[in-house]
Amino acid sequence: MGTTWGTIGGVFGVSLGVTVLVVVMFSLGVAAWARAGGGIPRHGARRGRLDTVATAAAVVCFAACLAIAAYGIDLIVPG
Amino acid sequence: MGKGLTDIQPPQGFAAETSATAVILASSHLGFPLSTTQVCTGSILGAGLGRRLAQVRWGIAGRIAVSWLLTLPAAAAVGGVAAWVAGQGNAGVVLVAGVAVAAAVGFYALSRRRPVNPDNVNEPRVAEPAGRTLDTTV
Repeated sequence: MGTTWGTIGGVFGVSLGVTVLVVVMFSLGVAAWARAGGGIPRHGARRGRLDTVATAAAVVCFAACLAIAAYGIDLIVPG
Repeated sequence: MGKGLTDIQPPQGFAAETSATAVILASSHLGFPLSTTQVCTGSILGAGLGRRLAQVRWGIAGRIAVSWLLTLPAAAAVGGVAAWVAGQGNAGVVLVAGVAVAAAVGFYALSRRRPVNPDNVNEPRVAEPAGRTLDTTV
């Protein structure tokens, strides 16, 4: 029947890698967003340095997730 | 699907959908045919297993697998018989069309015996085999 094991292995590897990457990125983004206060205004209103770093990390992680999703849509849209 | 097979929380649903999307996109991009239903079912099973204290209702999974095994030969048999009857001539085509309409009406009537509506769609199923609990905590 001619099963192309190489292609199946490639699909498996790429899917596994991309799935783990997206899930890890999203989880890190959610964790960083929670660490940065999650949009809840703090008492004292003094944003420490760690808060800004956490917010930046959250933005980067979610941007990565969006980029991967956009690439996926770009793959299936013809032309 | 997630409700009957295993208990799905939002993280499992996210993981299942992401993996199903990745598999479908990757294999379509490489020109591989696949069945979306089987990919989604597999991803939900896997996501359910990946939780701590995972509990998969293997009875339901077994029923799904059996239905997949039966569907292909059954569809092939029905298609073959219908093609042979229709090939006999115009009377055959009319007969096949009539049987198809009658079957559709019959299935619809069967489905209305216990209709699913927004009130009972989330009810637990009856006569379910007990799921085996996998303790995945190390």
